[in-house]
Amino acid sequence: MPNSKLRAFAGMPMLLRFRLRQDRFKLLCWIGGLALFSIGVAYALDGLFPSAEERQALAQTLRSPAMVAIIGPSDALNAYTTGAMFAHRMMLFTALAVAIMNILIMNGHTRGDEEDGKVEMLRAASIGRLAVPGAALLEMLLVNGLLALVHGIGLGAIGIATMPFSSSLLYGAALGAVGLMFAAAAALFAQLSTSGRGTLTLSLALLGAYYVLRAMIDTRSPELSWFIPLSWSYLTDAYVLDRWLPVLLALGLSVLLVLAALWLNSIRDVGAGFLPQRGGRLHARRSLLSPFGLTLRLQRTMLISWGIAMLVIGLVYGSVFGSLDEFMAGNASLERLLPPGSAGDLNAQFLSLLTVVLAVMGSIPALTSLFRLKSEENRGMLDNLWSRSVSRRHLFLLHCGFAAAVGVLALLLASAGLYGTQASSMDHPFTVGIIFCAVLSYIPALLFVIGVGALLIGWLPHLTGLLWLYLAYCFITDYMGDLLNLPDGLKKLTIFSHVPKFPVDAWQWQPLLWITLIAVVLVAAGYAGYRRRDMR
Amino acid sequence: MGAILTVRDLSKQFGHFSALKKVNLEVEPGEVVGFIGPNGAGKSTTIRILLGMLQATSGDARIFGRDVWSDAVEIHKRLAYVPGDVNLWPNLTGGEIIDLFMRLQGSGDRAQRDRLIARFELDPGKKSRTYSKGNRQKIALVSAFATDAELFILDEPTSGLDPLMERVFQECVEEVKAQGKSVLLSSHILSEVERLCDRVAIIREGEIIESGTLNELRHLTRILLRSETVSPPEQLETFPGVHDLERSGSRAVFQVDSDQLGAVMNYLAGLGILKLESTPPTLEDLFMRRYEQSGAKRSETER
Ligand SMILES: Nc1ncnc2c1ncn2[C@@H]1O[C@H](COP(=O)(O)OP(=O)(O)O)[C@@H](O)[C@H]1O
Ligand SMILES: [Mg+2]
Repeated sequence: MPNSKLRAFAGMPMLLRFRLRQDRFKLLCWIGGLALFSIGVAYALDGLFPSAEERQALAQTLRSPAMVAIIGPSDALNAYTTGAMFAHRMMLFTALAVAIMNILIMNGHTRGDEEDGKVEMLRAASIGRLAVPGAALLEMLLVNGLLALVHGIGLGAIGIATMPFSSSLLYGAALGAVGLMFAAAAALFAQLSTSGRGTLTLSLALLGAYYVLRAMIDTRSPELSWFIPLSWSYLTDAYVLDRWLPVLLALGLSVLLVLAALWLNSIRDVGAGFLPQRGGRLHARRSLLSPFGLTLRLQRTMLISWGIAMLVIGLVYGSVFGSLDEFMAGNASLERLLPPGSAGDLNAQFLSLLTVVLAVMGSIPALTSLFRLKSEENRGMLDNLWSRSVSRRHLFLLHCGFAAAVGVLALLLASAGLYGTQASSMDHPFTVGIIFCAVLSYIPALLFVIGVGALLIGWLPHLTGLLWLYLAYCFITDYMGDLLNLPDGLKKLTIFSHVPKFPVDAWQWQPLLWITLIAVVLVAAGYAGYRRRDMR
Repeated sequence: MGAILTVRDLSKQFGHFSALKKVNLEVEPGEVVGFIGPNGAGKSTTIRILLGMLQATSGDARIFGRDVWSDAVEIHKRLAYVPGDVNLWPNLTGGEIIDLFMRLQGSGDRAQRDRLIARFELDPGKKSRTYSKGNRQKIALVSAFATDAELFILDEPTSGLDPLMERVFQECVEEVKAQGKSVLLSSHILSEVERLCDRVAIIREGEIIESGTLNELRHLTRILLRSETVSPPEQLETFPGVHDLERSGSRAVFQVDSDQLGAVMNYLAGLGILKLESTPPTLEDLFMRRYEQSGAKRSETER
């Protein structure tokens, strides 16, 4: 009865239009951001490594098993063209980002909406059984198609000789196809699990497992890589061999997953799932029973995600030291030009640049954590604590202290990652002490940022968004200030520029103590406002 | 021992808007006080000042003899609050939240907690994101009544409960009252307050317009009567306190002031009652009456 099958999809076009309108900003950010980033990197790589020798020197450093495990293998290490270099460095990481985008959106539109009771409302409004997953899948088909096209056209349009349109389209198609595959996988998991959180965990665990599995396989027996769907991204070998087979494989697997998801969806009840459901706790654990325990619990997921992110960022940056080292060593002419021992200086300069970036990055989870104090107030959650015997001072200082701890932990993880890969990839690596001192010297600046946040929460809670702008300003000025030729006055506005550049400059306690002191004063001033203002 | 809660000339400005104008309120030990008024009257604002969440623009508010702003934490150890809009962390289960609330309040009885969960027919194993408004309210009610607070401040606590659960709620209030505890119960439904409260204070547009026992306020209320009698009630319009009379033959629909009800009933009984329906006064009636009075007073003074 084709008619009844069609009825299962009733209302899907309307739902799709609604979803697209609802998501347009988010989608624009994801697709635009990813594409601009890719195009920017391709452009930059072309400029940074214009000659074949330079590229070859870089390729040399990417043969090590550690690098293969992290960024993936390449068939073109002996003829490392700009296109080959771009695809090798970017494909796997971009595919990961695209997969995460697909998982997040898909989960939100399937199990997430179901959990919030929206699906029940839609079904009551005579919308077909399969319209909800159907609309979500169609949306992801459009999104991944658009992503593929934007990447293909954008990368092709740069006009780099080794990056023609045909290969760029393959590069984009590989990203889109892998993305669609993970959207379909998330749709399937949404049928199995009964919660959005469970769906997310399963989907991300699958992605993580693929990444780790392929890292092990690629370093030992690369031919087995064909069995790992995530590897289909770089197995296309865009700009080198231009294989379309992996794209077809990914699309084929997506179709299978979609059919399975739709079938499971059609035979289950709204709200139900196929995995056994763990009953929630009837009683709280002791560890939850305090404002601190509650804060930890509410921010746990965010903290773990950021912890992993900081560690990975550290690892990736650390691996670049090896490239730099080899680049210098392989480049006899360059070595002769520079005064003896200046290779070390270059490394130190690079390290001090990285530490600023890490410090700005580490401020993000710290501020996110601090601003929970405000967002919880806006959502009316603080009344629950307030109307009981929790004082304003307790809540305020708890959040400031918690944010500081989050920031310090983020910096520690980044330092550990940085130390790990640079130690294994450099001939004369930095010592643990130097790496940790260089990164951790930014703790006072981090505290300053938290202090400004605390001041805003206390006095101008509706303006906390400004601090994000300031952080973005710091990032741009400190990372690229020299390139942009900014006047000194503007550069001095960022707190990070007042931290002595260890190890390029000598270690100094004084500025660090001053910044810390100012941070403490800011927190105290913030509390003075928080203590006397009305709660929403 | 003096009053548990005293509010003197409390005012609150939000910018140029006066949300409260010289509000006075008192709760004695062992007393249940109804705090009623239409939406936007200032009930929640008053209560949030009492909880130290908002700072009063002027006036004095004390609970247990302490200042509500500066001694908030000490006061809250002996007080339980249930808001009208209960916001809960979506990823915690009801059971976890109740335990957390009881611990943060500082007192509480596990056995009482479990009994209340059963009475309110709550499933504490579910994530709070799945709870309806009524269920979220039950979480707050269970957490409040499981503590041994001396004062309960309840801000429209039953707005999401079904009638059966409202009944359970009323029993809970009666129980804490029997233990000599005090309750401030805000509501915009007169009948709910009527059953439970010893006294009521009526607030409108930030001003307390009446306060006293319900009996003292009876003179303000009218009851709507529909009657059918054997002989037509021809003299009905001559009775003082009868208003808006519509009569057709032996049937009549009219309003009567509560304090004149006895006389009117005697008269109708003499005519032989066939049918009699009465509708209790609503808050709206109360306000209507109040409008008329203040309108009349104003026109008198103008004259
Ligand atoms: N934070 C605020 N800023 C401005 N006006 C407010 C604020 N909070 C409440 N109000 C106003 O104060 C009045 C009283 O509100 P509220 O106390 O919530 O009334 P009730 O609880 O009796 O329904 C309303 O007109 C409301 O709009
Ligand atoms: Mg209210």
